[in-house]
Amino acid sequence: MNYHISASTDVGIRKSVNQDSLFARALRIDSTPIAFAAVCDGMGGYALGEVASASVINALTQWMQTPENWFENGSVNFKAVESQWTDIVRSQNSKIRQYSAQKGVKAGTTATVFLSSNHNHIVMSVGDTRAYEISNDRVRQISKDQTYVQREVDLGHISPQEARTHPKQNVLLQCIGILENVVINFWSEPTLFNSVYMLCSDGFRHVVTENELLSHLHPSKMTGPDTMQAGQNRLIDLNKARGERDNISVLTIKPYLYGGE
Amino acid sequence: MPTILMISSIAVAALVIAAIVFGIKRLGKNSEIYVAGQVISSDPLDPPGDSSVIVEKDITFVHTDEKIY
Repeated sequence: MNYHISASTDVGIRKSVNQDSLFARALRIDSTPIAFAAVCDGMGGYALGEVASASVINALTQWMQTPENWFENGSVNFKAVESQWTDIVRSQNSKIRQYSAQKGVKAGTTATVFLSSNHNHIVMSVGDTRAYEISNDRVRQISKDQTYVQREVDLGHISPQEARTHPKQNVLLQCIGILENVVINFWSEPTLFNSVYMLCSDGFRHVVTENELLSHLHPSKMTGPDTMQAGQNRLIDLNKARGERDNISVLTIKPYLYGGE
Repeated sequence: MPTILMISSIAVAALVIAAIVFGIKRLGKNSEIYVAGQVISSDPLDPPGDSSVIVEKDITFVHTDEKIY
């Protein structure tokens, strides 16, 4: 299984600064293909949001430079990945808290991180950036938001439809850099070669439907970096045309088989 | 005369073979392998199982140079 990757980000129609940060890499170690992707959505005044999101992305980029810590005997050690990502998030949480305390302003970032190899993947999420699996006939949200409205949905107080337009839909229960202890969620699943994996900031999915995601990012259309970029950009344009006010970021990974796999 | 012709023919043939072998090696070193339009290796002569890390594609978007230490 090999991987195409693509990413797009847009400051949007309202904000003057893009506080989202993204990183994706397709690589081979010992001939084993690996796809890595991360999206962080920063928040905070005085330019601290983009510093917080960039700091987490930079830490993850550094982590990618030391595969000897998480790759052994020709495959990814997913348990080691989970443990090391946890350490990175806790360390970044502490550093961002100290940094924003020095500046006298609160700042933080969400993060959703994805790594796939050998037909399996791991997803980590803090906050409300999301990971999706888009297959031929459906869009499935892999990650679960750590938000006020998601908690209300889980408690049965509101419906998922009401959550989409709820006045508190942007209230986060968790992010990196605000609370002393950060709660991190992980999911481990098989990677399907005929699906598309998508990571996005909340600005990418507020005003578009899952049917529109399926239509523009359908696996049959995502044949390579150019078509993936085109699909992403069409949805970014749709978001802007509908008045989305936030920064808009999306990253897609398309596994594909080659060479008699 | 026939001996000179034979030696010349052998020399020319050897030169042609050497040029072909050299050319193939050069082509191998400079070409890239494309799978579904994407570069998967910049050096196809790398043996399978090589322990090197090959980065096929990198995408980064950050919007500040400021760092937190």
